[in-house]
Amino acid sequence: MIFTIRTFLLALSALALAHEAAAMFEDQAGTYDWYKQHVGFTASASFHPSKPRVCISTAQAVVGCLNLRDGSIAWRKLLGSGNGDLPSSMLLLPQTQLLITAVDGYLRAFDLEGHLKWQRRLPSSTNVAQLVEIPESADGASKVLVLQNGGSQVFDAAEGTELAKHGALPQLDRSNVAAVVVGKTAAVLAHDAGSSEASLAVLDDYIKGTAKVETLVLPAGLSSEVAASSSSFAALTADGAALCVTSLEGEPLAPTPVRCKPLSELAPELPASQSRKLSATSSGFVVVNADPAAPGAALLKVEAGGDVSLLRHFPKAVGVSPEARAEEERVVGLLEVSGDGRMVLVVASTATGKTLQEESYPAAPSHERHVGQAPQLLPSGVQLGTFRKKDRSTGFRALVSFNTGVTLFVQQGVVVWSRDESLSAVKETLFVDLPARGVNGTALEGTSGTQVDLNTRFRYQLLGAKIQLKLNTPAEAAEFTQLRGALSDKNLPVRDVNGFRKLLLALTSTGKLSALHNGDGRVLWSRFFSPDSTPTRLLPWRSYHDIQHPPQVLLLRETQPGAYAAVLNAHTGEELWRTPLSYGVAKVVPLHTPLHEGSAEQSLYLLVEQQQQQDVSSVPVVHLLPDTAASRSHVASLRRSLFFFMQGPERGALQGFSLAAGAEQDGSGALAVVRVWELALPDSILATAARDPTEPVQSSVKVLSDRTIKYKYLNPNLLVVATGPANGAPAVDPESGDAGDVLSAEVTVHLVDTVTGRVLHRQSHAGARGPVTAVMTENAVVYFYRDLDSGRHVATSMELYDATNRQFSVLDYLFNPNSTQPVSSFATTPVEVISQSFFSRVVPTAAAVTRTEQGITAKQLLLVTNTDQVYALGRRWVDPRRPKKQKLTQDEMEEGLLLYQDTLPLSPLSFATLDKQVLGVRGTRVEPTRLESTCLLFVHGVDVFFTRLAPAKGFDSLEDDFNYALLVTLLAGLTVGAVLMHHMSKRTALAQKWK
Amino acid sequence: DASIAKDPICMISSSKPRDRNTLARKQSALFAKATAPLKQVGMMCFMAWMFGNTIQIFSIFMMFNLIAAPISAIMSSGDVFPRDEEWKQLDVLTPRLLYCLVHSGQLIFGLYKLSAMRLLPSASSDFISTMPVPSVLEHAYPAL
Repeated sequence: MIFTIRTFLLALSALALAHEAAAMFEDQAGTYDWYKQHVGFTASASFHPSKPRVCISTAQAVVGCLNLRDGSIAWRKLLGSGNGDLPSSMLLLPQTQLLITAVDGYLRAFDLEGHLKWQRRLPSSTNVAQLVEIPESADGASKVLVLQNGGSQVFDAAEGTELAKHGALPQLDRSNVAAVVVGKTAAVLAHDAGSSEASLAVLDDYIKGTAKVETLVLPAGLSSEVAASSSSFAALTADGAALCVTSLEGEPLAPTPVRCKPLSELAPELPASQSRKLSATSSGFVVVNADPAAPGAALLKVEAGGDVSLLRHFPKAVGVSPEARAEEERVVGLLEVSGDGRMVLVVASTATGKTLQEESYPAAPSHERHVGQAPQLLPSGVQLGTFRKKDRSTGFRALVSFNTGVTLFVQQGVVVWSRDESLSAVKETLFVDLPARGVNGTALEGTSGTQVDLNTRFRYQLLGAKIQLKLNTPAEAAEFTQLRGALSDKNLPVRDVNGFRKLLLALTSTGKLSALHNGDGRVLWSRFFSPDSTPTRLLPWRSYHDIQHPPQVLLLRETQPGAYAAVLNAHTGEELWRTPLSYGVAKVVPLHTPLHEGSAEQSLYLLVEQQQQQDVSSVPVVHLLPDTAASRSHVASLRRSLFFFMQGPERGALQGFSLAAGAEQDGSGALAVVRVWELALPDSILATAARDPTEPVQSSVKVLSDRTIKYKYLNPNLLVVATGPANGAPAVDPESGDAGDVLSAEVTVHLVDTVTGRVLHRQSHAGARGPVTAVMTENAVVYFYRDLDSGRHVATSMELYDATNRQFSVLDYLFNPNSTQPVSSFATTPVEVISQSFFSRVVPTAAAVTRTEQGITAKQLLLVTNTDQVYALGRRWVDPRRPKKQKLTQDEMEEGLLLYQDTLPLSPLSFATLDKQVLGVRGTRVEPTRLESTCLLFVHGVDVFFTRLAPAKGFDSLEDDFNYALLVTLLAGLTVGAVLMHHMSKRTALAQKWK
Repeated sequence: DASIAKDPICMISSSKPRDRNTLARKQSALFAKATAPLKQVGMMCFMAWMFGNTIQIFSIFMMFNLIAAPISAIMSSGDVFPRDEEWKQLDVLTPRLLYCLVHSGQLIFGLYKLSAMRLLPSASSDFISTMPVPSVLEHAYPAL
């Protein structure tokens, strides 16, 4: 047995030595991986002035242009982290053919081919910047007025030169800002939502003028809906019932008194609604009820003196486009959406209210199976464009984006294309098993692959043999590739022996839960949640050891109001139960000792309640989920061994807690906890990393090249904490003002035992700065930071060993069952740390580790790079024991050690994402399969990518395209040959004997 | 006598003169037979040494041969040195032991070679599969 294992391991290491890179051939691309490109939820759009394209900016901070013919991406750029929480604004200037964006504290101008023309820094990166186009004046140059934080800047659009900058006016530093430019005068209206005070600043000359700020007092609080038409401002009151308007009149321009008029008076037919939207036209405003229950829109006209009158009422409209120009006319598009998704686009003149075009469109095609309540389709944006028809008349087309993430392009009564962008906002993912064949497999029926007859299979094998022997024609090679796809069983909606086929649940931040098949990424079912019940966490709930029961998953909405926990059948998406939570959840602590109930494994969670104010002495309120008698007694049995830790209220503080005695009998529903330790670290915490408690560990020792053994330090309660100056903190000392020595910046790494709060080891790196990325697996820690001196990124690798002096006795291990003592954090173990640093050409923003069923396979670090790729780095490269010498000895080579080099290798073949870029990577998920060699990787950001990884190559399986026909033919040939030869040799021998 | 009865008639005259040295000659022949594999064993060991300590298909065959051959030779040494019923005073045991010694030389070399190839479970590291991963008494869960 030992012999075989040794041989096997040797063969394995030989294999690992032979091929470091996970390279593959060109024709294998797309066999196990799939990739979906997205742009995100459209926030604003503009039609390209000359090409058949539409340029968009999205909530995921992507700008780009889509091809109008098929919706493909012509170009796109990510302008931030892609987290979907960055406020962005976009402005398309048709004259100068420039796209101006303000995202993440930068004002950038792109030409319409996606080339960056210029970039300027804005005062703030978190506040939304308002972009206003200044109409072309006498000097002929396009200008942009940028408003942010109460200040305004004027930029020349073509060059990006700053023409004027007006200091920040505190009155204008409000959450809602609208601006208008009339001639040389600019006016800005700013107010906070809910406040009945607004500030109006009038700049008599936007280049060199001075601002005159007036405070307008309104009879009611205003909502955030504010719009600026050509020379007037309007805002809806907080309850949405009235419209307040002021106009700029006279010379010099001065605002007229604000008039607030109830909408029931202005537009009596418009039904009352809470979700009203206001948009501006050149001659007035449009108020639209973005509410399918009470649809309607009122087209309003502003007359001289600030009087508002109704031009026309549109009874069914739920969305309105910004104003577009069609020949001499100014028009808006009003969209009506019926319950089944059919749409009607009404194009009306803003000056007269006359309908210029009315076209109905079918619903966007969707192949998804919706479970539960159907999503309420609500257009989040409509962009109207014009085109010239064949009869030289003007036609209208529109880009419509819905709250579900679907973007449609409609023209002449047809939906030309649609893009489902909902997966661009994936936040949480979870792999679950598919149903077994024949057992509850009906859940996903109708989604199966194709049936193939024996002839086709035979043809496939024959072609494979021909290709192997290089006797094929190019057409046969193409047919082979096509057949391979058709014959592959990777898309069947049932589980397989190797565990390659899985169901991937993805929860988006917009409230959609999708179940994707990992074979090709198709959606098997999806479920929508309304914005007030959007779940924030997706966690495993109950799994079964038998194949009869489907796994269950937990959806948790952490934030109040409407916090709840719901359990779903993972195969059908059906909701099994839901319980409201009376508290907001600050932290979810999964316990990794599941509760066994028959053949089921029930996951347990501790929910830490959100607290209004946290002080040093307060202890968190903890609830148990599920809160049943069985789970309570299970937790009671674990009480002595159960600890949890969290960040304290102060910077750099960590606190550890344990359950109080008798905590489970508490009648209040909460578990009583006591603080057991507290640790205050001097600097900000830059990164933390802990071992995955469920990570399988194959062996607790490491065999060295001289065949001695070293005991790994495998304490699962170990936390790596990197501290240092906060990210983004200035290198210059703010008090003394001197830049100081670069060596004064320091990154310190602490190894903290999280049961006792003891620091087991700490090491510092002088002249280092964050951001720090750290990852921990088994007994190894790898962390990355920036070295100021060399300006490069450094990876430091640590391996931890138990330094207790132990005598090894085989007999002990073979016959003494008590030879291995359990590990306790309360019994101190000396730790030996071996550490080594390398320069890294890869700049990681996050890191993960591959994980296999038994943990035998060599591990790879998966580094999410700043270029939105995932780099797979073999653990051998960051082995701190890499010898620093000229030549390796035989023993060291056998151990698989590599010579030390100061820089980690960067092999283009080692990217797990192949040649793809997963724009704005937010997370990765690694799932082991039942085959030891293989694991699955899902990477999600704005794009999504899935692949199968084999860190040490597929040593335990034949490749999928292994040619069995060739093998069988060969064996048959050999058998026939052997029989023939035997017969012939017998005859010859007989003949010789007769001689 | 019995020997005359055994010999064919015509052969008696020719065999008779050597009779008195027969025992000594038979004994030396047995010793020669016992040391005969020495050359072959030396050759085998030399070849095995030349192959080096790498593990590959030929060296595995070689190793198998190196170990299996002496074992089977030792096992069947009884057939190589049968007890001569005619010459009861003939010493069969010593040559047989010598023969076994020569072969066990190859066996020892084979084992040494096996150990050099690191295929013998002689180090503590070969028993790591018997070592369980120690269980942990406390669990601390992150709520960061």
